[in-house]
Amino acid sequence: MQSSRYIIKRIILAAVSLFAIITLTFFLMNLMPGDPFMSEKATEENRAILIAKYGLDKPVYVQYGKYLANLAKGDMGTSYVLQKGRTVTEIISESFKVSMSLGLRALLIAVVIGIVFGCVSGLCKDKLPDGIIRVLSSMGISMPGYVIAAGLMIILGVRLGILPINYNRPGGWIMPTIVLATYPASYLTRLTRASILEVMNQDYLLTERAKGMSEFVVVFVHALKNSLIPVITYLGPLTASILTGGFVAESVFNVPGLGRYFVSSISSRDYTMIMGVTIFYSALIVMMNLVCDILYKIVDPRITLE
Amino acid sequence: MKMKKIVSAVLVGAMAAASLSAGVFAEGDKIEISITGGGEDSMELNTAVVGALNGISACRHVYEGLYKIGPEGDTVLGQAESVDVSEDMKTWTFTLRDDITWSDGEPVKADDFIYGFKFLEETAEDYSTILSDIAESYEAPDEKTVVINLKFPCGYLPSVLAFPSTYPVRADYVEEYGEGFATDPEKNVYNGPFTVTDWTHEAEVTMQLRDDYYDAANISVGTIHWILTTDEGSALASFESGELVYSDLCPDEEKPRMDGNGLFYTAGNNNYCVMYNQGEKGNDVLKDVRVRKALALAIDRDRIMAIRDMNDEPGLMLACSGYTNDEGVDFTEYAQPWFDLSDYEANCEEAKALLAEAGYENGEGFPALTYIVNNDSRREIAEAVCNDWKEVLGIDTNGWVQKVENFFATRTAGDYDLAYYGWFMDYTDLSNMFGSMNSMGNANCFWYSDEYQAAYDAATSTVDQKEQWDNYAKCEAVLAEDLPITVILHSMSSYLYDDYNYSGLVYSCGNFIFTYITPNN
Repeated sequence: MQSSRYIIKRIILAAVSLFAIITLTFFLMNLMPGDPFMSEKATEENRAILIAKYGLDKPVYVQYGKYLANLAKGDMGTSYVLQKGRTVTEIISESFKVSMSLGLRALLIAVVIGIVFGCVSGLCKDKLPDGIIRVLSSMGISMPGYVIAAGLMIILGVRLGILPINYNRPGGWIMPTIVLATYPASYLTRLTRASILEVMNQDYLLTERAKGMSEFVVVFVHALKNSLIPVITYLGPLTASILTGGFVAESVFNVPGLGRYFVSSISSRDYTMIMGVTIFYSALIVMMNLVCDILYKIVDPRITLE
Repeated sequence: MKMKKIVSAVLVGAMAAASLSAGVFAEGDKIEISITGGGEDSMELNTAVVGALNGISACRHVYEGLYKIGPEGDTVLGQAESVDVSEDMKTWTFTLRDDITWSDGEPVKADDFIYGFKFLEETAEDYSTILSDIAESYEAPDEKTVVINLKFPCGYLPSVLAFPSTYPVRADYVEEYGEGFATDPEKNVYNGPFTVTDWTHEAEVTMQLRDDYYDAANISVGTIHWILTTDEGSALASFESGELVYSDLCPDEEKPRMDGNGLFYTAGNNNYCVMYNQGEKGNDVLKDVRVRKALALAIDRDRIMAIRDMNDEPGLMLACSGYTNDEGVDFTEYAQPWFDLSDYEANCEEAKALLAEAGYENGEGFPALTYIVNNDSRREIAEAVCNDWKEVLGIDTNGWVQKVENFFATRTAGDYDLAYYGWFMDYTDLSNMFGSMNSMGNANCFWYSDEYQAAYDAATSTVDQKEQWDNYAKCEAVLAEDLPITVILHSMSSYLYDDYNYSGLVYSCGNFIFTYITPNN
């Protein structure tokens, strides 16, 4: 009962947060200098016609009211610049499918590698496997995505010629997935290691061992379960960000995902796209955080949701 | 051992996948190529609104106008079989070919052209006035005839009609699907050599040669995979790995390495200039032609080109080189340059004298100005120019250069003293370059010259080359005299092309046409 009240409260708070984000983004976006119709060859007359056509000549509060009214009907408008004539909903749903498909693979790889390597590293503390895993995870965390992408592209794509560079080719998903998974896998490895080390010193594990439980059960049933709470905290925003793609991986490997719109919609001042991707991403983050909170409760029943 | 087998299997699988993804296959007697061009990750295939180079070039493959770009890069008749031009050159009557169809099998009718012209005017996009600027009216007296009545005799009409904005449009598809009709191959039809068979937005457009295109038998390219990307590094890697046959994206720092390894330089058909605001809001100091002349002479173009290291041509005139007359003389030699670039020291002395004559000896008392640009590369050039003015003329140019976010709006409003100006030609006819400075152009320097306009009008209303060139040369002379702008350089375009395996690429004013590509056997 308490939990369901908590969830309802969180959903209401999420709606309020989303409303605040929409409002803030809309007005900040309108403060940006320029407009979507500036171009080297456009005449002033044509620019004025287009501004009027899309209602951008109206006061900002009128535009805001109209936007909210349309949004309430599920209409996010059509793209002004990036994909003229296509609706924002159509663009986001199409590109999100691609990002999600890539992101789920990357997430799965990151979680499996992160938890397994983190456990191995924690259980073999200060031994050779721990050293190797720590070096590799440090590299994975510190290397920027574009360096990894360029390295993979040059070695596997150009020099060895064993993987295609463009996503649309057979096997084209492999390199962008590796790029997307590298940082979260490395970070999760370190997080799991630290968490395992902390849990392994807890008294209750001593009790489990004293009861005669096998080391496997102690580690993978009792210790791992409790060490997952900080991992779950990180998984919420990670899932949201990895599912919406990455600008670097998508640009370099020509992935038709959502990630590149986060940058290109702003630089091209494609107002409807800026609003669309911001709303979508914010909703996803809010939702994933809620899911994480519920997962805490499942992993550790002592936690109360209130 | 087992591990080795797994690794081998993975590698073999990956190599098989890679071979499938390579840029070229033979499919019967037609070839399949993958290319990227224009540096955009989106694509527009609506001829009335298209403005980016990749979309304009793509439209040239899936649509066709009364004229088209031929295999030699020249303008030749396309959907029209013949043209009859009236004696006063103001009425052009086109007869359509009998064998032209849309990709749904419907014949291309004269009304499709008339609808396309009207549809273009309604869009208010970059090229919406390209035809209405010169055409008084147009009509389709019957299904096979298009008549265009011009406001003035216009020798460059074929270039305009070969430009995608003036291509035909099917009214029934626009009416049924509205604004989004050209965003999905299911909602559109095509009348060019290729039809769009698949379109993954932001990633790839696949075009297939139409069997019922009148010239299909003479085209070797069966399929084009048009990759949509903005990433120069991955475009280069894809070219080097053999995935791409053509790319006009190549990182500048890699160009020296690729020069001779597939990188080609070609005329950019453009200019890069400094513009002086001659309007009310511009600083009075720039309204003195002696000052403008001094500033123009003091620019060390060789140094700027050395900094850029991109095979640029020094700029003296509005037009770039590459336009030759019937005698083989280049226009830049035909029209006399207004000063000698090779003697920079003498030019600097003359500049100092002119500035002193204007009352600013050694730059003393010269007011602070605002020099606006719109990106970092142009900022770099502007700063080099200001440095020359400081070193040679003694003008304190510190803080002049400003990168402005809403650059075009600022320049149009006249809120500047000096600004970047450049024109990238839309088609290879000198009228397009000189039109940028006439009363209909959008140079935004608030300068107007009756003499220039008269020379421009005279040049564009004749087909006599000598008369045309004499008048364009007059335009150059007026610009040299008044100096509303100073040309600094003409940049080159570059592209990567697998010329070892292929021939027949047509590159014209940033447009790339793959229709005529053939394998080298």
